Amino acid sequence: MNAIDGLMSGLEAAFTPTNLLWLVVGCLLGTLVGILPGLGPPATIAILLPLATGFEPATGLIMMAGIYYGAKYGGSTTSILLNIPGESSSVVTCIDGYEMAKQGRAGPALGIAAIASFVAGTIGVIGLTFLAPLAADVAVNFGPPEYSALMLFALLLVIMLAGDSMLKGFISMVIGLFLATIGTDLFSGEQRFTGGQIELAGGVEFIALSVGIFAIGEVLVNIEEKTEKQLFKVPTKIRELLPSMKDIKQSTPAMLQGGIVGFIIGILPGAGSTVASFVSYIIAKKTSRHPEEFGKGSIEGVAAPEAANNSETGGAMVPLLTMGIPGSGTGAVLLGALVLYGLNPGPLLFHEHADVVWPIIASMYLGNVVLVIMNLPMVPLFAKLLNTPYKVLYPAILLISVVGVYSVNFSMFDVGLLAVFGLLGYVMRKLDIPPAPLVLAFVLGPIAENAIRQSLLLSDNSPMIYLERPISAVLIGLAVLLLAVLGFGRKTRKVREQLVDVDA
Amino acid sequence: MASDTDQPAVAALDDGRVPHVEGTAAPSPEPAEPVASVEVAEPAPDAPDPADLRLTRRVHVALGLLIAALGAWLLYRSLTELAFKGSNGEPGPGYLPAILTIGLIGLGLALSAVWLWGPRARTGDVPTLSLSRAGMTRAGSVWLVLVVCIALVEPFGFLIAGEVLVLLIIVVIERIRSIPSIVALILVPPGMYVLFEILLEVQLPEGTLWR
Repeated sequence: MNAIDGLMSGLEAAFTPTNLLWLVVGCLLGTLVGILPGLGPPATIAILLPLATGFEPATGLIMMAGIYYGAKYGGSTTSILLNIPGESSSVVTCIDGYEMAKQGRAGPALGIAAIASFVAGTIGVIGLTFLAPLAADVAVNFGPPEYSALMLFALLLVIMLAGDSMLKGFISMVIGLFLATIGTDLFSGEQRFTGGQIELAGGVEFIALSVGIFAIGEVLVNIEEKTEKQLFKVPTKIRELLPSMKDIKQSTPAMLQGGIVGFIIGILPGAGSTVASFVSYIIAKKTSRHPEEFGKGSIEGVAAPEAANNSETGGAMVPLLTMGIPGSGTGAVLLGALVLYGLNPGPLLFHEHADVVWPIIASMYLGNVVLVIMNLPMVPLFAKLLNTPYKVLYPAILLISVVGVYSVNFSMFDVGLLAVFGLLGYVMRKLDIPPAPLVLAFVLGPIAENAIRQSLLLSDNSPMIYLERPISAVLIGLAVLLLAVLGFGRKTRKVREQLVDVDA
Repeated sequence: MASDTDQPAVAALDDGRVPHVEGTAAPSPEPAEPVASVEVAEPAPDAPDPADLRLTRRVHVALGLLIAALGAWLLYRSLTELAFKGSNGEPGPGYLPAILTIGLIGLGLALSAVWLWGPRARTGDVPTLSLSRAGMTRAGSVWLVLVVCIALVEPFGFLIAGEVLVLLIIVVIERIRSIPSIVALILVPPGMYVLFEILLEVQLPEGTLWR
């Protein structure tokens, strides 16, 4: 069965009243639960899995695909409105999304997130439909040297989020990398910097760190000044609560490149939507006509990571369906669901269970459509939430952060860490140290370290392995070029600024 | 028509005024020059306060030294507690921490150096930090309220700890008088309890004291 025929039969099977109903229910539940911090897509699917397994395999998996997409969009909502990232891939959305909310542009931000998700999600699913076998070949060629080179490249990109002070950006990144070493070393089994705390054996919980640094840190900065003024400007006209045609036109290149970048990176197991979202953000910044707006409420800065975040879903399904390798936590839960239904993910899945696989892929197209239809009308409602006086809103943010972090591992230790990282986030903001490099380095660090150590084990400690393999050699070359551009580019910019001052 | 050149030359008086000579056109009134002109330099509108600049500089120098000291302590721990290399010479568990902590030491010292001797710091062409004592005290108080709430969750449960947080904010921090705001805030913990515990079946702490 070729791809087009498979897709047509999948659409026919998915387009039944029962499947459509549960797809919509899945999208709605996924969005509502995904809004809650700490409950990102993996936790949302895990919570709602018992509901889905009562159905036929196709219906149940279609519902779970709806939950997954809904949870992704829900995570974006709290990132934009409250600066609380629901999962690691939402961190980048916080940078510009929350700034837009403070400027009274929460509606356009949420709207463009929905539209970008739809456009890029569709790109991702098209990629999955027609490129799955080719994409699987590429994924198979990615070994530890390629992963470590990719992570090195990605860590250098993180510095581009540093803003004006590269020194402070590096400090933030190194602190994040160090925090990621806390826990059990995978290779030797030794405890690193756990202080004897059993709760730290698995490392620092990401949600405690990110919610603490972003949400709690932001609350502490905002409440410094006792004022009756509203923190957020909320427009009253309905047309200002949705993105305008100008916003959509401005964001289109970012959406399209995010869709492509997200799919390509999504096919690499473990690279995940975090890398996809901020690589897309950096590319959008570098190619934008208004790069100076990034970090200050640029709509492209929301469109690009949201697009990448969603098209990554299509990419992540490639290793899952073709090789049975889950690309992320959510993929692992979906893999469990496939096995529960008696399906064996792998190269033969498309042949032996085409009647289940193609409806799942078709439902991803439909899920995109359902999400944009469902969420765009809800955007003004979400934006209006910001009308709440901040002195009523921030206690709710504090409590929801506590509950969100607790719900991940049911651990009060993690909640304690939330308070510690909240203070760290506040201090970083007061000292103008950017928090985003810390959080992103924390996610990428373990992948980078493990890949580097595996590579050196494979090559008998010879670093030449990076140059002997073509993909990693290209990525290392790009990383060196990027370092040169970073260093030279800043000097050139400073010289240019000085020349402009002299002319003035 | 008589032109200005037909006017007889008349010497100006000491104060610059030209005396009127009968029969001639009255001199056009020229604005008197000020006796003494004192140029008062107005401060540039965006110029930072020198006190803020000094504080910003000191804070950055101290921060850099603190980061370097922290890096040194963590480097010591990495080298004494963890193996730098594995049994076959491959990177051990202490490899990356050692490299990172050396990096932290270097970056911390660089930060202090840049703020002590860097050209922008010396000329004052840098953004200053916003370090208001009143603001930081307020933020610190809210943070302490959060810590108290977290400390109370385990023994008393989420509901009571949440209400304590809300009441401390209403009474101590914000001194809210508005009844709707007070009611809305008091309803937040039970609202969350219903959402998480009952609807989503995510178990929240009940409190060890009540077991």
